[in-house]
Amino acid sequence: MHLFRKLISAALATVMLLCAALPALAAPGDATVFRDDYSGSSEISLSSMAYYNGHIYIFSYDNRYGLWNDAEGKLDLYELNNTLFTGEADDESEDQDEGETRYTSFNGAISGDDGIYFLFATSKTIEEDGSYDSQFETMELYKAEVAEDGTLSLPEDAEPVEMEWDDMVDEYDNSSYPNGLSNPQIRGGKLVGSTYLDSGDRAIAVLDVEDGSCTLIDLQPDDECYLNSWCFYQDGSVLLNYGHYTEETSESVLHTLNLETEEEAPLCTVTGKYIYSMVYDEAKDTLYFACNGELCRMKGADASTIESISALSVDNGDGQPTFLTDDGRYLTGDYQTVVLRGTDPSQRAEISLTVYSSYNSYVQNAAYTFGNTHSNVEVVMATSYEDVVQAMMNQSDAVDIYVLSVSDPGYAALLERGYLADLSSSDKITNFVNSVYPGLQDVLIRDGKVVALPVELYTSCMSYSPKAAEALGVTELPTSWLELFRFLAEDAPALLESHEGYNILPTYNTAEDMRNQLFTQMFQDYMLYLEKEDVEFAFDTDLMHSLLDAFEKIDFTKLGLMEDYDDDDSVSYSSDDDKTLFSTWGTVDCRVYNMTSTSTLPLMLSLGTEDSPRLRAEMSVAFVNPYSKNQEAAIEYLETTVDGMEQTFIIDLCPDQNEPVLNAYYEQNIQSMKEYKDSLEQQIAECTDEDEKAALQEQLESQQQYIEDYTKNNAYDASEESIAKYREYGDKLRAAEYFGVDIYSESDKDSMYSQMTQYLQGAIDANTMLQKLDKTVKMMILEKQ
Amino acid sequence: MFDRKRSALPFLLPGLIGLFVFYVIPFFGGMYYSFTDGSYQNAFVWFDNYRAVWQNPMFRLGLKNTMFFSAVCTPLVWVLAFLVAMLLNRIKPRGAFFRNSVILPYFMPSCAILLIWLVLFDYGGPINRFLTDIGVDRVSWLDGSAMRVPVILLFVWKNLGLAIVIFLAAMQSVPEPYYEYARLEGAGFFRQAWYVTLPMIVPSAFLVFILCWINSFKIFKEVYFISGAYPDQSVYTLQNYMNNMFEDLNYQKVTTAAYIFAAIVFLIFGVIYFIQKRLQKRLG
Repeated sequence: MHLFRKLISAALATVMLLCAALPALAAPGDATVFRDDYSGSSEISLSSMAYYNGHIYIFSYDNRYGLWNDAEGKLDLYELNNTLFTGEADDESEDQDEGETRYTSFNGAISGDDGIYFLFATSKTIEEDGSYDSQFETMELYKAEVAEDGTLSLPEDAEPVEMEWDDMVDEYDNSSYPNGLSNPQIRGGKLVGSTYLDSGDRAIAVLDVEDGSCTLIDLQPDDECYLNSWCFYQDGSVLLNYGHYTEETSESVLHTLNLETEEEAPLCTVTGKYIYSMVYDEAKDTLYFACNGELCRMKGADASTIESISALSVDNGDGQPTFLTDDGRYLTGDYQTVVLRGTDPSQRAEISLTVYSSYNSYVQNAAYTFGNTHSNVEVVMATSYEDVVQAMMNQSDAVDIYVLSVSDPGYAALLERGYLADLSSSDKITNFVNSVYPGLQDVLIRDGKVVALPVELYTSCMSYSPKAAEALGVTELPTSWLELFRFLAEDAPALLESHEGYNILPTYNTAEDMRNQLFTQMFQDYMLYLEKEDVEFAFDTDLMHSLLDAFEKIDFTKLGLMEDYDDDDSVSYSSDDDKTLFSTWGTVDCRVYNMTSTSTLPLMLSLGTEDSPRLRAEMSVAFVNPYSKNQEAAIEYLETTVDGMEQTFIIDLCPDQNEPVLNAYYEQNIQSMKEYKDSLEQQIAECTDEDEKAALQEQLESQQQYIEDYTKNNAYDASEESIAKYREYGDKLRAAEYFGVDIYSESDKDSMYSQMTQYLQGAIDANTMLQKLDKTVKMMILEKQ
Repeated sequence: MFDRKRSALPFLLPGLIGLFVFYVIPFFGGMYYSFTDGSYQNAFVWFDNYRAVWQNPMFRLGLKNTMFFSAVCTPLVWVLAFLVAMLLNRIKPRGAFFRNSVILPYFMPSCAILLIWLVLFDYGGPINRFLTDIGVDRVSWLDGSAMRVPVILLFVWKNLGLAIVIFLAAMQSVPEPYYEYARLEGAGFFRQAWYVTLPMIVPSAFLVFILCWINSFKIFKEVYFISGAYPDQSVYTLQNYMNNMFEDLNYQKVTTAAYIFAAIVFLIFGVIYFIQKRLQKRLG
């Protein structure tokens, strides 16, 4: 009896544990299968995706592909060794006339109900009298071999089916290019996709996989209707999604199209929604689609049954196909992301985190990483928000995380009043912010607590060309705006006369524009000086008067600038950097591109003789809404954001981070360059014509130099040298804040912008401008006391 | 009687509800803002806001200018309206055209009038041209402290009509024999006005005075239209201060300033009411 009781207890305990575990075992989760954040950290790029027999494939532009490992939540990478993918097949191709080069390009993988297919386009490049034309020849479909573990291969002796593509070719001058298929899929031996005709109309292409024959079904939508997407529907038909947009309405109009009879019939209309990435579950008679950043479903053809299932942050994905996986999940993607979503609304994540990212890449990318590690949280990307200060006054919790510029008046108001959640509970965020340059910290910390996380940083300053300075004999560069103005007034005109071919300032500006630019830049620097230094907040000062006196002495018409923009002449917006002494566009960061391989260097200017130069930094920060109901999840999200930051960005912010950063694309690019160099050497060896040989030799030398320069300048994104150079300026960083005056506001005639414009146009003198500015600014500051 | 009072209630209710919702509740709700610090914690700070606002130089400047405008515009309108009403009263019924015309400016939209004012008082406008013609230097009417003149003139032009109409209506009730008797006794126009008309229309006179004073407190949109949120310091009124605080969504300062001003106004009108009562008693 005692043993029996024990057995019963054990059985009950087991059942209870299983019941608790069942939701976890039975609920397929959301996942980010692939995300390319363009930082170079992604091992492959996204060319196409496919799904077959429970396996998800991500194909790159080269011969590699990723196979989704659901158990471990990662992509396993493989290679396709067929020479079609590696480009070697082109070298062995026959029937190449002189001046012709045949090449095969991979047009993507296509999912079929019986396997995975590869589409290749063969074209030839014809060179004639120095011009090159590309002529499309043929489109071939290959069927891959799929192993049990899902890996793919394509034997060298695989026989393709040549597809009848003649009616889907675009001709332009002497070139021709094949039109692609949108959302290509194979079902029942038919390759189906939407395409364009010569007339520009949309059509559904149905190609037989066996014999390559093509039927084009010309679509004839109603006026102002445009085909957005399509998917397979019932009984051999497809569902067409037309967008219908007028001034009064926007709706998605669904039609069915029978592929056999080519009959099209209206199905239903979804008003007020732009739907895309559709997939139809015939068993449940349910259509799944993306709409307004959400995954939705509609039962039958009844728009009133539409309900939201989960958040879905992919762009209009007609370029990538959409599938329902064998375990009932929704799989779709766009040009940089592929995601999986559960389709059961009852298993929607308990917590919804709304993020207004302001299109900041770190904050946006964090959504995908965060989603993979926090299955109980769904991230919704807000594309707009109500006035942030008003939202705080209303104690709104609509948005959990905001990204704002620190020069935004809203951020200034929030920081002043403390409407920013305390992030100090996160050691990661606290340590990060505390390690940032002191000149940037005052907008991140309030009352000793970390309240914001920097997510973007831009610097701007004047720059100069050392080569131009040397050529012009300028041995002492100006160190202040005062000195710069004196130089431009007194020395520059004479230098220009004696050094033909050299410029003092970029010549693509008119004299008036350059005058305005220099004035604005100096003025912005002066405002930064007032914000950050312990000085009286006033414009009518001796310093400003001396700056304007020096500014007014400059004769911009003697600086070699244009008088006016001539509409007939095209303006070249690149001035030869080696021959132009100063520029108003300079960027300071740790990158080799901006600090060591460039021909210009930052020109740090103080205002006068008694202050030090400042480096103006435009910074955006992410912060948590103090009224958010999900503060913990929001803080964890920001921690994920920190984890995803590029190392170069961290080096820009933190003076103690000095480890060089390799260029992620360096090896790949050097490899390509060397391959091209090798092919040139081979061509020289095989060439019999002396003239052609000489031309190729010239190309080879040029390529050699290019490789040397690239090796020298591009091995690193941030080298030891560029980081050290940046550190010379880093401690001068000052975050430009909003101090109560919008310099560009044109809201009233006495606004700063209005006063400055009147001064520049000569309507008022410097005294009047400064007195009026002082009056306005002083009143603003006194009001805030 | 009780039944009659009860039957009036349904008719009064909509108005009372509106009064309650749009005046009483916001009045006390605003008080709550004035006692908090406006931060995320929204801490109760007692009279710190009142102290800070009262000591704020811009609030004091606005208050001073508002009082200045009131002190200049109100008597100006009152005296002019009384005199004109007296004259119009003399030429009734032939003065019907003038009686109807004087009220028209009151109904005209201020922004439309301001556009005309901007043209008139422009540096090269007709007024400056007239001054030049008579040998006087041009004045920058729309800049600096000279802006007070067009603002005051606009106020007078706009509000004179209503005051005249109120005075006229009151003067209708003065019996004619009083004037006859006064004329027989040798009283001229001004003595008649002082000894006959004015005592008889004291309540209306005070009404005009109060209305003018209240309207003078509202001098803001003219200044804002011409000079924006930060005009010359001589025309920066209390409403400029409150408007700027409101734009900053600083509800604490807006409400605090409003309640301080309300307290001052109540005090002033309390005194005026007291004077009116005493005067009426003496005259009665």
